[in-house]
Amino acid sequence: MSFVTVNIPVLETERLILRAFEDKDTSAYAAIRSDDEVTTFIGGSMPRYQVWRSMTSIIGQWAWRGFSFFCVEEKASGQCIGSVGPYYPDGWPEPEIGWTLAKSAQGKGYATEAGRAALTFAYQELGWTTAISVIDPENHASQNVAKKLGAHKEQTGASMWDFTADIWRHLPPEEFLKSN
Amino acid sequence: MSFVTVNIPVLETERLILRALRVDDLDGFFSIYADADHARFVSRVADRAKAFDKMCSLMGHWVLRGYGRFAVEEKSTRRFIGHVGASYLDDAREPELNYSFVPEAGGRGLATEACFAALRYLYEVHGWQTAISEINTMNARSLALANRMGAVKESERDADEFGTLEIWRHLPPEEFLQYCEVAA
Repeated sequence: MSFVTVNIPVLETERLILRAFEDKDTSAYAAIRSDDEVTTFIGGSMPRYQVWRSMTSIIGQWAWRGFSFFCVEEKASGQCIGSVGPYYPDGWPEPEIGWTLAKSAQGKGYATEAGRAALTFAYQELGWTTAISVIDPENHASQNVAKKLGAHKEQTGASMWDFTADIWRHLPPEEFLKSN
Repeated sequence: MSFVTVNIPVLETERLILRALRVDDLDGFFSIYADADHARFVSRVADRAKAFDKMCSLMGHWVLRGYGRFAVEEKSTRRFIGHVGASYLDDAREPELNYSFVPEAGGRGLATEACFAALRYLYEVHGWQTAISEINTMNARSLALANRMGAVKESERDADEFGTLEIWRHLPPEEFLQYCEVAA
């Protein structure tokens, strides 16, 4: 039997593994995506069956776009604590690095650690020459992550889909890779 | 760098290749959902962007489940004529053999040929012991196909705006494989 092979990269940081979603992540990721507080700034909460479907869609994008969100696994617990990665859906201003973490995983520097790995991957493996993050003006936790990564706010009130948000511009590849 | 690797098999029948979906299948894929009957009986996809997202989901299904939907390509024309294979969504009661074809594929037994190959693969390679197909009670072509495969209607369920779905139970592995030989 012959095969078509799809390869989805696995990245490792000090405390995290960034990898493709697996079926076993469904409960943990569904809990994150149904948490009103966590999802306030990313389109609102979703029921479990939709989260599962969204996981399949995220994985499928790896096959054809060559990048997509990773599942963020905490090494210590083996649990899925969120998603991070390069992301560029139709109607988005440009390719971005996005992150979403469980409430319980916030405040530990995980988002910065995961975001740094994802941006490094985008620059080194995907050959991106620039990158943004789209962040709600009220989402202060996320803005802090962007700042820690060295990004600066470039534009306020940019419109995409049916909402507006701020555009944060990351450091260019050489500068970013040197400082990280 | 290490990778998670998914191998999607390529199956071959007399007139068809069953293989992983590709980006260039999108036009054909979208045309399935543009068909009025399909939109009425099965599912709807609003635009090409949504169709791409749906294709991504079918691809991602392989990673989460180890099996999923094949693109069906007609050997003689190299054209995409539909998709067929296993679907087992998180809220599904049990795994299902699922199939959808472009309207032009009808009338030549190609859909039946693809479905036989896909179910055979699920029984032989994945060790499925049983399989269902859920079919809209108004979808005459699809009901006829299930009937040709030797499946029998088991029950019905309400599916909101799509009306009533019939649950058809396929022949169990041994009987089905015998039936395949007779049919061939």
